Amino acid sequence: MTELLNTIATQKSQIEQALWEHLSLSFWALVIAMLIAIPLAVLLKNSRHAGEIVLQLAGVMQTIPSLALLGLLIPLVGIGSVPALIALVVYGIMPIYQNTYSGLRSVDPNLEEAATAFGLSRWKKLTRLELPMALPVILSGIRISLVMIIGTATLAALIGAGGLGTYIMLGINQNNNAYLIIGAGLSALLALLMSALLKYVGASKKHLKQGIVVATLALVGFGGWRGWSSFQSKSEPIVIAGKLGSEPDILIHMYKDLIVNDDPHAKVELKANFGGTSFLFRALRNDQIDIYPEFTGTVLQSLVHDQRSTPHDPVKTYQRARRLLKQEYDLTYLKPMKYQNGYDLAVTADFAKEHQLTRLSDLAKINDQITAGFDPDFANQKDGYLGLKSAYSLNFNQVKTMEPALRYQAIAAGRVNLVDGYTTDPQVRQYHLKVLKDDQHFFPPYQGAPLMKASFAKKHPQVVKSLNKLASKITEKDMQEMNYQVTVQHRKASQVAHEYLVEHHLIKK
Amino acid sequence: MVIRLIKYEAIGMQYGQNVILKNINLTINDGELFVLVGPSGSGKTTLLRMINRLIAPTTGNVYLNEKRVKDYDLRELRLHMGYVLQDSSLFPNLTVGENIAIQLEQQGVNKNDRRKRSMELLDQVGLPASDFIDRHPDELSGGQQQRVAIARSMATQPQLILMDESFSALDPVLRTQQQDLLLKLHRQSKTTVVFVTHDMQEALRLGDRIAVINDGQLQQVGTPNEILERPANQFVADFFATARPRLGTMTALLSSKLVQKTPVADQSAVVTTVAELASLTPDTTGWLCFQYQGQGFRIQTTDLLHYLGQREER
Repeated sequence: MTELLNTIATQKSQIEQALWEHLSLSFWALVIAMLIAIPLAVLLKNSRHAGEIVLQLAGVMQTIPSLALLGLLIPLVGIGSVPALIALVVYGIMPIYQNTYSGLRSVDPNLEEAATAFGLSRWKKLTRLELPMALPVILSGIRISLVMIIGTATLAALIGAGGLGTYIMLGINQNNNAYLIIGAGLSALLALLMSALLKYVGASKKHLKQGIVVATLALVGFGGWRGWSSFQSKSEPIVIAGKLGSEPDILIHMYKDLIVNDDPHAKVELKANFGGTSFLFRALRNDQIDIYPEFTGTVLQSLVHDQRSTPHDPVKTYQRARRLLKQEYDLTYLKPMKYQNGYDLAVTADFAKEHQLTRLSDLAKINDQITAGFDPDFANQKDGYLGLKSAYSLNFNQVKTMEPALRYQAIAAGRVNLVDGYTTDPQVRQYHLKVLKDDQHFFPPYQGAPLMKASFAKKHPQVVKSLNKLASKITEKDMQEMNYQVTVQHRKASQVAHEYLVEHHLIKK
Repeated sequence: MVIRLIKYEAIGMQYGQNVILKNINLTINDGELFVLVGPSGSGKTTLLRMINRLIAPTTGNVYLNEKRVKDYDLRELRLHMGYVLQDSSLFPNLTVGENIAIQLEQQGVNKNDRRKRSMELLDQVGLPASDFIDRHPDELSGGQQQRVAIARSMATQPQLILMDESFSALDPVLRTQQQDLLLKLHRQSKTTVVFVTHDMQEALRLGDRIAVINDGQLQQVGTPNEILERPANQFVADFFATARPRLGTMTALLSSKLVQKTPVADQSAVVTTVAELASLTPDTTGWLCFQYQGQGFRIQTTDLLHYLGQREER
């Protein structure tokens, strides 16, 4: 609970922004869905055949898993708010259309006939009789749609549209319940609140009028604000994105500080927790982002087509990654930082002391005393435990596989005495663990460096120069410490990043 | 001079092989309360709905003031006609006042005038305007709803009101009240009313003239008296057979307190049956003056109708 309050206190402005992004994305999706669904239902209400076909079609769209829909949209419209909006609209249409259609069709035929016999025009019939009579049903459709949209909008974070989903993803990723509660709780709260608001609006004619006035004002105001701000910011900002987690978040804040320190007029936009590797890579190539930090090992293993096995020498790894990125994608890969964020094996400090462990080679002699807690992937991969076994002649007494997030808790509780992990994990510091040196260079090196398009690098030599100041900086210890401050102590990534840069004289205060 | 307001000319109606109406020729005069009566499925409602073009005949033409209805602008045609359906069919989302003035609203009459007209009409149909105008239909009883529906049909001061089984869903007491109301309003306005019913009692009570329809064919057109006294064929005779004895005897009527003795007036008609009495035209104050067995009597039309209505209910 205190952790939750702590997180809320330190992340207040980010949470507010996520909430606002979520709200505006949902609002626009709902408005557009209404603008499509209601007129469509009005047009089709008299033609039973077409009406039913559209109903079926909307139903089919509903059954496409939202994630799949987002995936399908990325090649067509890229990433960010646009595909998220499209997907949400697609989901939102069905309940509104269905309710409007059946609401209009269920108007008593006697009343329809009376209205016709009185010589009322189609418009008069629609606005004065049919829509008002169907209104309660239509409003309940809108409410269903709204709740669905707010819920589904949490997935928008997956494609970089932000919103409360960011916290859910972070929470899952870092096994941080505070984030999960913030993300899930707020979106549920938002859904309830909006639904109650719509119910209030639908309760009477007066409320409806108030609601329409408020919504119109919001629309006009928002449109005006958008127009004004797009008019204001003529110069294109440099967009820097980072993967999920605290480390990329800290890094991109450093990038920003470095750039702005050298050029105070530069406009830099950060997109923290923007998504996974392939997603960011695609975004970079589609010019939706300009820079993001990537690891050398990841480049060779997932991004470029490298037939050879990954070298164990970090310098060679970087060189090959840089060359292939340039060759295959015309990308520029700046110089990497010092620390390596790769697989490691860690034991508690006490255990290390007791058995005098510093290197992985030291483990062979105490094989029978080790109970390991491994990520299931790591336990069964050639470049994980399987390869490690032959490289260091290991054969642990017992290997338990468990969720990555639970390993550290297991070692802290003494249920296992050795875990796999990443070298910069903040838990190393949190639980006073000892990372054993990979003295045979078995694990491929993972060094972080800024990745950008060659054309961008050419156009912004100053940015390249600024970012290169980080080359060979930041040790594993530094990174562990910074990760610890952000994920465990809930300090702001921007502050932590800034302090490091100042402390190491990379920027002026 | 009688204006020939509505004229059906050689009307035929057919759905596929199904013949609904066969060669109907019929004229409805200006200011008449004209009743189309017949068993259900006889085609009487179809005939009514040809006037406001909810249905078009497959053959023949309907004329309104010598002009074919299909040559009228449809909206204009309908906007200037009143229409009352079996259920009140008030719009549930509109207030009583808005319901009454809906045609005026379509015509673009301003809000104040619409409200004023609604008040007038509510008074005419016997509902206190200030009490009812802002209520919604679901707050009204069935009879009140039907009164509002009648008020609505008169909103544009139409020359013609169409009524389709308008009172059939009401219980007998309410039905009689509505019939009284209709007769009163009709006397006041002299608007032409075409009234469809399957109930011959209602036809006899309301109709200036009655057209009897069966199986898509016109059986007889005439005043209630003509139809009772000289049915054109066996069907008409059978259809109204049950109506006849219910009128009761003159002796029974005279023994009620409704009839006043008067000196014998020369111009008053001599009657021998209640049916003959019912077919007389009242004077301007609503009195029916008649001679029976050499003595002079008079009775208010409304009283007579009330008396007949009560008999029906037995």
